[in-house]
Amino acid sequence: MRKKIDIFIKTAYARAYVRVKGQLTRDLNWILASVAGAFLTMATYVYLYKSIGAPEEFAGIVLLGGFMTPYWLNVLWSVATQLYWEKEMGNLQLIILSPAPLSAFLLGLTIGGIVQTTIRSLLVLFVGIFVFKISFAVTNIWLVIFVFIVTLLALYGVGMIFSSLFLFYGRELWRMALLVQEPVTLVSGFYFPVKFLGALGAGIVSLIPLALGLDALRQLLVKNFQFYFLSWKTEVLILIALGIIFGFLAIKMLNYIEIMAKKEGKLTLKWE
Amino acid sequence: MGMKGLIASVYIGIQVESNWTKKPLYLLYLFASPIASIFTVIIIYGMLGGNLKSDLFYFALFGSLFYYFLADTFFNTAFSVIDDREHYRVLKYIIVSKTKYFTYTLGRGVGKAILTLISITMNLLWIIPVLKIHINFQLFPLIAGLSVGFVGALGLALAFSGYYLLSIRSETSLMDVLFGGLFLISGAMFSPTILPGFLKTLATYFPLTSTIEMLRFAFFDKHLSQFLAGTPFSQFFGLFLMTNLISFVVGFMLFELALKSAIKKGYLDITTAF
Repeated sequence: MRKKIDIFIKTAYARAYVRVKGQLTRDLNWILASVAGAFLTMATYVYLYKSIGAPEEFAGIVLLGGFMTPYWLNVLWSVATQLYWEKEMGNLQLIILSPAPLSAFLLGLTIGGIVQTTIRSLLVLFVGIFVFKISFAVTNIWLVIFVFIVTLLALYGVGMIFSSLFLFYGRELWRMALLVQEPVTLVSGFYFPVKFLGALGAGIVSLIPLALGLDALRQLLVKNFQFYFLSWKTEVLILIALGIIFGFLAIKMLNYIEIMAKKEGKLTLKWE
Repeated sequence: MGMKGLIASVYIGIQVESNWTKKPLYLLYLFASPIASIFTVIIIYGMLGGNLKSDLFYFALFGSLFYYFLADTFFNTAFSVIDDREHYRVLKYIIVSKTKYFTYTLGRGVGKAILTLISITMNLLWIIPVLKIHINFQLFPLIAGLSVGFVGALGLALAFSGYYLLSIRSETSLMDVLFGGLFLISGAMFSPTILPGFLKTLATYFPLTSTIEMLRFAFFDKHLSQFLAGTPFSQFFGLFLMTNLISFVVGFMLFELALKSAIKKGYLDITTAF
């Protein structure tokens, strides 16, 4: 048992290390570019709201959306699609054959992803605050951090579920990820409050952790935020429930994939 | 060989983009691709602007659709370098074939433009009647916008294809900056007149900006915002033509230089397991 735990921790650490170290030492230009990209997209919406004379609080609403955008992109392109990339590079067979559990591999990937994305997201946030002179009303920073972490746990749980699902795709995966990216950005309310979707619409998209997490964070951070969907306390409770459900489903699906890959030997093959 | 190669490249462009699924499903994919940007505009203007009949709303709605057409063509054409080198590993064969690489890139661009055009046409066919948009259609600005606009977007694509030819690692990071940056300065969602000084000038002379404005003009026969309002059509057309042609000439030169350099440096078959 102790050996199993040891392998689990070592695997998770090794994968997280690669993600953080690789990004910070080899892909520094990518960090800067993605910060610039997220900032510029966010700036478009800030100016859009200015052009229609929207209340000032919308700059803060958009900035928080811009802050969360890198997490969503990280989940989609670096967690959900990761097993597929590993398969195409020929690494997945080795991972499956090794004693390292797939769940530890994905946990490391997730932790590493959160660390490197947080660096980028904070940069987007600070640049946005500096350029657009946006101020937030932080009354309890620990509460904000708690809500943020709960949101991330639920969100990365979704990413881990999709990483198993996406393994069944071939060349069309790229298109599917592209197709999923924009609608989720839309319905999660990155650039407008999710309440704008109406009660039914907002209720449906509450299954996406980002929608509720962003709404809760806006209630806690944006001054005079009136367009909230549910109270942040209710949203946090739902997020915790979603996090547990998604985490459970992710582990179940990973185990299924692992068994299937070993039994049938097809899922891990390149070009299948 | 040029025309034959071009037709083959257009065909390849369409196949690479679409043959990953069945044709009806791909049509559905084409239809769905710009839906998120359309609804973002509708939701923002509907809930905050409060008026889905205003010129500003039409400005953003049509702007986001035409931006999608130009940007998708430009990004995909540029990205075909990485696709061919990293994913399909055929770049070196394409370059040593009888068809010029420029012709091939042009064909890929035309193929993608045709598909994106189908996508926005399908969406315009429901947007206009459902939102009861009164259009005043003009054929000449439409043909000019689509053809010259494509040439300008191709110029940008060629410049960045050149950049990709010389980057030995997959520089998708550039896409992130470009997507955000071009969205901001292209005047797709709001009038560039509200941008601060330097950005406003940049937006005015950026080829995509005047192309998007020309395409809007084709549907409404007027400027929908302060941007270029009051400018005589001949002057507007001159700006549009000039910026797009300059974009193409500069892009073409950079592309040819980069291609020679990439061949010399042996970058045509370098892969990075991306």
